[in-house]
Amino acid sequence: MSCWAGVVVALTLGWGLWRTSARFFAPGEFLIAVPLWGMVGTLTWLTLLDLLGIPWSPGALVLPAVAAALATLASPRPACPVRPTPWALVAAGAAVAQAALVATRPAFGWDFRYIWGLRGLVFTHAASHASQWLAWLPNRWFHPDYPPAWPDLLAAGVTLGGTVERVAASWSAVFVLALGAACWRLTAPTPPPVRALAVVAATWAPLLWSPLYSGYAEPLLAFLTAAALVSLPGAARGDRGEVVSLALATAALALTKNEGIALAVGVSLAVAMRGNRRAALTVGGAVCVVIAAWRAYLAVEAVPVEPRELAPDIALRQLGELLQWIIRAAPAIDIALLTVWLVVAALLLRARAPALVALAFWGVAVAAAYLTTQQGIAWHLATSLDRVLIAPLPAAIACTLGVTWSGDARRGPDS
Amino acid sequence: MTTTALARIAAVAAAAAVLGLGVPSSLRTVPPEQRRPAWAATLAPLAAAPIPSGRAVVLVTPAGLDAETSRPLLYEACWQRPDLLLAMAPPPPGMRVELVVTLPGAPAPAGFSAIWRRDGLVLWRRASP
Repeated sequence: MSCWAGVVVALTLGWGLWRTSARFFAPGEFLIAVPLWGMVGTLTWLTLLDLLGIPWSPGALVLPAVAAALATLASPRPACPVRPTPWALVAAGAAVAQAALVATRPAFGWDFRYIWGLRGLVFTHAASHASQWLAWLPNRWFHPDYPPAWPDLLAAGVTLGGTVERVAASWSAVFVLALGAACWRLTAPTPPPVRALAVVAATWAPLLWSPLYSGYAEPLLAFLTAAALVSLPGAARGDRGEVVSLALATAALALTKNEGIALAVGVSLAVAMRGNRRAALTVGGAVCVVIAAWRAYLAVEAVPVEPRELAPDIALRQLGELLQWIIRAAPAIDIALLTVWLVVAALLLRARAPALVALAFWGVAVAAAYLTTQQGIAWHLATSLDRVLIAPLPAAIACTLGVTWSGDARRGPDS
Repeated sequence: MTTTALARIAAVAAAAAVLGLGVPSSLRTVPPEQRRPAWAATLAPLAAAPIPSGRAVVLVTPAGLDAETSRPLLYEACWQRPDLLLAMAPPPPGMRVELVVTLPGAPAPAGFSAIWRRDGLVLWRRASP
């Protein structure tokens, strides 16, 4: 059970913060907000400990969760509108089945063992962000510049007594449920069978929950994308609780893979284009602060950063190679996912959905990343395109179902 | 059929396609022997090597392995000892090498003496001048 200690402590912190925040604004739905607040709270606390020079220890990690739990005693109980309907039960059943499957499989994927999980172990041993290890030049193969959210969560779980493989499995199960809840919300107010389809498709999406990719950061990215898109329409309208939720989700996105940075910036642009300046400043500010903080940390600690080739002629040549690779060498799963993305993009464009700007920016940023890679574009595509394409797809499909099946296509999730 | 109906069908089809691809992907089974890299067993003894945390160590792989083949050995060594600063031989410029770990089949480093060995892995320390 110790593999669940990190999850339980983080969710307790999230629950406490969720309850406490209800004193100031409507804090969002339990199943989305608690993991979101818990993760952001954990990441913030680990960073604070690091800045203060306090080693990460079980006592130090449990402290904020205990404080948050005690604070709930003086907080009002937020509304928790759980209305079980047959289709909601179908959706919940599918999500729980996948969560149970994922939870029982210790992570072993390549990128888990040699990037995410490894960094989780390194941070655990160093009881910090292990700047010396990150800056060690031979470790440049482990992508030390990748944002730290997922390794931080793993390190917290290992510090509290779990093995890194099982801690990753436990968190992945939480991401299944949280992603399902976010997709249920994203499809409101469409007919319940459509909402259930969105949840089942998300919680049984390809690659995300495959054992071969177990322990990867994509499930976290998928959940945070969905959580951000849930809050996007409300935040654009200026709803204070949704603005805070969106700021948290985008900040966490910016700390979860470089694609997460692209999604976070895209969501910020989407808010700005909806014309609510205060919400745009809050969300954009949160994203800028975390990106600047992580980049400053890398610069100060002299951590090697993945080089990019910015010459236009090379980018143009790589564009040709990219198209050739897709036509001649792309695996069937990549072609299938690209086709689904084309359909989704067309439908979101037709409905002028708020999510379109965010996803379009992500698409452009991903293409730019491939065109400027120095690692050989064919190798880069072959080793990553499927995962890059799948991470935001469940949320995008839920949005698509939402805007095509709701009466008013431009309306976002409201219920 | 209206464009709205077509859009709805397309949206449902996209979700159904993702679900259709996802079920076999999620239910895929991987035999236990494939869950650990083949070279994990070779490097497993490193976890017990008497090397203090935080030390820099050079890993020497068997002669004849190219960089692409030997790099995963460094990855696995880091997984076994995430508390160390590991580097492949030849070491990075400016690094003073005090500790070396050789894999089975690797040449013995000149000027070093063996201080620990297990299952073919040997830990070497620079000999006193």
